[in-house]
Amino acid sequence: MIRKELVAASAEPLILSLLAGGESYGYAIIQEVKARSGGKLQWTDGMLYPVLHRMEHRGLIKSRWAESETGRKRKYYSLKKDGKTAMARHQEQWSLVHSVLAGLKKEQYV
Amino acid sequence: MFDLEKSIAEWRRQMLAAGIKTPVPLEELEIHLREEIEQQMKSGLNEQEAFTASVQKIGQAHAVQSEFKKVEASREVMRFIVVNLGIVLILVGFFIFGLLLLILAAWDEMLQQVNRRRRLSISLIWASLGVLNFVLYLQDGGMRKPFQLGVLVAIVVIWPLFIIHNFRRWRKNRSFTSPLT
Repeated sequence: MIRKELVAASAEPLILSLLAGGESYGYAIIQEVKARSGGKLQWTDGMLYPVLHRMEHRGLIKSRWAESETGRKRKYYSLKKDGKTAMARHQEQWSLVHSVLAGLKKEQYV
Repeated sequence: MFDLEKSIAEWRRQMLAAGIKTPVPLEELEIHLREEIEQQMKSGLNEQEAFTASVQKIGQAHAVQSEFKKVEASREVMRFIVVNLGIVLILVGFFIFGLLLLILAAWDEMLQQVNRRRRLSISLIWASLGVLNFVLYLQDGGMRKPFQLGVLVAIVVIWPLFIIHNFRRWRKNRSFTSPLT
C-alpha cells in the first residue's frame, strides 16, 4: 500500500488529469483511480470531497448538479482553464521526479 | 430487521453532529454512500453488510469534517475580514473625507496642511489594503459576484485617484501658502 503522504500529494494531479478526460463525479473518480492503480492507491472516500471543494474554491475546477441516466442526482466536476495550467505544471514536476528516479534506478542495475 | 433508510438517516445525523452542517458536502457524501452500498450489494453483500462496509469506506465523521474545516476555515475567515474591512474602510473613508473637508474649510491654513498630510497617509493605508484585497481575490480564483467586483474596483481605482487628487492639492497649497519652501 502507498504511504498516505504520497496519496495526499498525488490527489490533486490525479484528479486534474482524470478530469482532463471529461467531467466526472466523486464516486467515479475514486473508482477510476482505484482501477488504474490496481487497487494500490486508495483514498478514504470521504476525504475526496474536501479536496474537490478546495480545488473548486481555487478556481481549478467547476461543478454542476445533474441527473445520471439512472435518475440519481450527481455533482459533476470539470476542469477550468486554471486547472489545465495547474495540471500541466503538476505533470511536468511529477515527470521530473519520475525521470530522476528512473535514471538512478537504471544506474544501480548497470 | 435492518432498515437501510433508517441507517442512512442515522449516519446523516452523525455527520451533522460531527459538524458537516452545510448541505452540499453532506448531500454529496450521501449520494456517494448510496452508490457504494449499491456496488457492494451487486458484489454479493446483503444490505446491512453493504451499509457497514460503505460507511467504513467513507471514513469517520469527525475526520471528514476536520478535512472540510481545514479547507474552508482559514480562507473564509481571511476573506471575511479583508472584504468587510474593505467595505467598512470605504464607507468610513468617504465619511471622514467629507467631514475633513467641512473642518478644513473652517480651520486656519497651517492646520489644513497637517490634516491634509494625515489624510494622505490614511488614504495610502486604505489603498494598500485595497490592493491586498484585490490580490487575495485573484489568488482565490477570481471574482464571483458583481458586488464583490464593484467593491474591489472602488477600492483599487477610487482610492489612488483620491490620493493623487489630494496630493496635487496639497502641493499646490503648500507652494501657495509657503513661498519660502
